[in-house]
Amino acid sequence: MTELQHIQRLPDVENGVSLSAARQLFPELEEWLEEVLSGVGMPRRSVMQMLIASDEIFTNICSYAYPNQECPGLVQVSWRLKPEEQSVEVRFCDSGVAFNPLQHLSEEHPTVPHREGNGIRLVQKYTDALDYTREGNQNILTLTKRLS
Amino acid sequence: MEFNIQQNLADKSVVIGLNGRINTATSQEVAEELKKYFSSVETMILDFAGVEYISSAGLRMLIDADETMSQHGKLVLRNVGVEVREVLEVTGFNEILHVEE
Repeated sequence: MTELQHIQRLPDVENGVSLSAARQLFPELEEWLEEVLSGVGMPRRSVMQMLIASDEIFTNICSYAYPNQECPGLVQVSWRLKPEEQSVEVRFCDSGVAFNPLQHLSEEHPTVPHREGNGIRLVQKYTDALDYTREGNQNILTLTKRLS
Repeated sequence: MEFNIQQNLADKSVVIGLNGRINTATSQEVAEELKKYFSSVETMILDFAGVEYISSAGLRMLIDADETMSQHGKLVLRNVGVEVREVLEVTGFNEILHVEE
């Protein structure tokens, strides 16, 4: 069995990393993201909210993007500062099966607690904008959070 | 994830202090710790004073623990901070879990 790929810088993407879509690797992504978001001046509370949102997106990819694979595929995560909007974009990209998590937002009843579906609700609550696109064989989900 | 355990055999209770982040990578570890006390206590108190945040994986773990404990006792969340309380409110779980004020 091929070993999991731990987090590593992407040589061809500025401000990007890649790692295997495996839940146990989330702390590596979490540490990197926390350093990035704190480094651009995001308030502590907002950083924590982005870590929760990123946990949900990463977990979603781990659960659904690469079914029936002995070793999970890769997730690429990159970020960019948008000075004109005083915000940060964090982009998750995987080459798994097509899945738009935003479609599930409209199917949920927000007032009924339920075991499933809470993740995407938290993502919606804790980000200022969400965008999903399918480009070629890639799912690209972009989270935007204002710095203040 | 670090745990501080105070078990009271006389009143069949345990206070489990949680320290760290309850996310997709640590929720199973928390679940395994709680499982150790399910059969021997009637009141399980989770002290959230040291919890920075909880994600939905952690919420599912709490619901499982609540379902198990409610069969013969109760699960109580104590010292829940602003960030965790907000997650519970967003998801509506504050209405089904026993959260101390």
